Amino acid sequence: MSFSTAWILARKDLRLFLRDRTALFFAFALPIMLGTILGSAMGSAMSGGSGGDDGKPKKMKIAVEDRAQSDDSRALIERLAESETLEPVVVEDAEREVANGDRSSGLAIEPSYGAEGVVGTQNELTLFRDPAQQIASQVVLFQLVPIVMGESYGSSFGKMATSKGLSDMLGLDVHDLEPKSKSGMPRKAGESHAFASMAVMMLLFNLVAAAGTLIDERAEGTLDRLRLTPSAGSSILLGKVLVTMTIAVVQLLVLFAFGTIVFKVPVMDHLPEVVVISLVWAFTASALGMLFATACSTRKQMEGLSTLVILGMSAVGGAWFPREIAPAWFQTAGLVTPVAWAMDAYEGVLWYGKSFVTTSELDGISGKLGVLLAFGAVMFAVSVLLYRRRYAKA
Amino acid sequence: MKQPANSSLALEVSHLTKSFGTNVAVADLSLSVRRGESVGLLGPNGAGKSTTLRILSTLLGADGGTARVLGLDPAASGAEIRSRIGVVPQDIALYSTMSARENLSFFADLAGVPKTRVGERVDWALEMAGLTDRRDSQVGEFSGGMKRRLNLVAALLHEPELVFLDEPTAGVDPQSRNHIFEQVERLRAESEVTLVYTTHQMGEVERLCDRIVILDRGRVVADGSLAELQLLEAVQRETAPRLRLGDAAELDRAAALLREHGFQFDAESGDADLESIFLSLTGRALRDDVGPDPTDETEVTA
Repeated sequence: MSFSTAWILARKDLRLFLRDRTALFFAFALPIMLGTILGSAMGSAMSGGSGGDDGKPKKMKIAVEDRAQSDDSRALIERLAESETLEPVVVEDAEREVANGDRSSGLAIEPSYGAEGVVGTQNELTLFRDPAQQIASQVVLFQLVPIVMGESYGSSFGKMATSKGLSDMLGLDVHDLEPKSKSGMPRKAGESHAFASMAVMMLLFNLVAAAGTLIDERAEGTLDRLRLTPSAGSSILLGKVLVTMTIAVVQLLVLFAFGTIVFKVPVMDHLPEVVVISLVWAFTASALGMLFATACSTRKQMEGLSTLVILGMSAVGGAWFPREIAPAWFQTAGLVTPVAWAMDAYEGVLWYGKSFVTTSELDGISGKLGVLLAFGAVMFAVSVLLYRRRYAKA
Repeated sequence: MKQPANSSLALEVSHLTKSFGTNVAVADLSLSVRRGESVGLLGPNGAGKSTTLRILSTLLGADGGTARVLGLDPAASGAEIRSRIGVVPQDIALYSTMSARENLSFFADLAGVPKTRVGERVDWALEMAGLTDRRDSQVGEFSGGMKRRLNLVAALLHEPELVFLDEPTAGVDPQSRNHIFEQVERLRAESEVTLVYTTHQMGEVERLCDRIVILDRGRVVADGSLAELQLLEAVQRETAPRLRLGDAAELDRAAALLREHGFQFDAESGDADLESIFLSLTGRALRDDVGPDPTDETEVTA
């Protein structure tokens, strides 16, 4: 195996790659586009605890139908609007809003609301809920209780109208464990997750495609010509790994630069960690690409198999959605994929602010990097064996 | 026990065998090629030509027998052999989005041509291929003939001592074919290179080769100059042959051989017909049942 020969081969592949506009689009533009979409969506979905751009908690919308049209009903709607957690959307038919799936919950303020002598004798409020959105519905219900009760039943319950008041009443000492930021910039869980996902998943797709050039070269006859050169042999495989790693590093650089500038992903706070994770992940993803390229006989075969495996691994490994919301067996299954370890490493750094080593406050990510490296080493070793077997002796 | 290599031989093959599953591609093949000689390897589809070339060029291991390439064992000295041979593959093996110059520079680098000589060798190859004016054009824009010419010179950049040409004129127009002939003839005139040339075109072998080896079903069925093959066929068919002999010495040898076998001998001018010899020796039946393509690596490892 000759490194200089491998580099000659890698340079050639890079030249071919740079002339392939479709490959360039998929390598650089697509991850940024998807990262933007996912970042915006995940940012909205996951920033409830950490706040939006204005730093305030995200409110949940509730459809409100005012059937009473009284001073009391209007006062209730005002209280809802002033709440920290709910945002009333006044509609003509709250039930229809929920039935259509437009809102998780709808509140109808009945004509009897606030009328003298009706308490306990007939419904003053009706709550419509979407069983498909149980968690949201329960949160809405929980939030409704203090708002409704606080005004109707005296000042002691009124404290429940705010989370601070509720905490004070229960004697809870609440700490929101905001991750530490060296630069003081507020962190965003959704955006960090989105760019970690893109870094992990898109890299896999692109590197498998790049490694697939080995199959293309075989089909086009150039692989034999390469094998006929004096020092080729396993340098061909090393050359492919070099080119896939180079593409990977540039791709991650572009992706994280975009994430840092546009979505304020705190890459610069943890540059050494992000660089090392990216290098390790680039190697592991390259090794997976080589495994596909040496195991499959045709490009079609490789594309089918790799799509199946990468999508499966990405789902189970937490690149699509946080593994924490999945069942226990699903979370365990994720650990047999390198994706889960890569996601844990990236999110550990970008959201939780972890470093390489364990401190008194946080665990380190070195162990996860070790597992990732082991995945890469095993896959590369298997691909070397497959290459030798497939191409006899060289 | 290892046999000492004969330094006057570029190729020395003895009882070589290679099978793919139940299909025997090379069966007890023995062959030798002298240094500086140009040998045509003829045979119908599935005769074992490509497999033999792949074994001799170190791309494929043999099942049995021995081979010496430039005095070296392909199984033990693959890298050294590859540094001293050139192989012109049957398929166009070039990068279509790279220019002619970029392709040649890349293959020169890989072949180990010293950096100081790469430019000179690339220029030589472009001139040899008649593509100097198109040096910066992408290969994908080339005609079939231009690609073939470039495909050929890409194997010559490191000045190999032995060149295997595997059907180098397949699918090209007469002009490009003639240019390739001239490339090969010029190569022979400029160096002491040894050529092993496989083709289905009898005329090419007649023009370019000193000796002809006909393979069929993995074995050598005939080996000699055109005149000797004509003679062999005549002897086998017990007919009066029409020979085209190169010189007086060849004429004397042929006459002696014929008389030895009890034939009448009359010298006269006329055309020889290698194609009829080929068909006579290998039969006229179609060869569609030739088994897997030896270049299919999946089959190789099955």
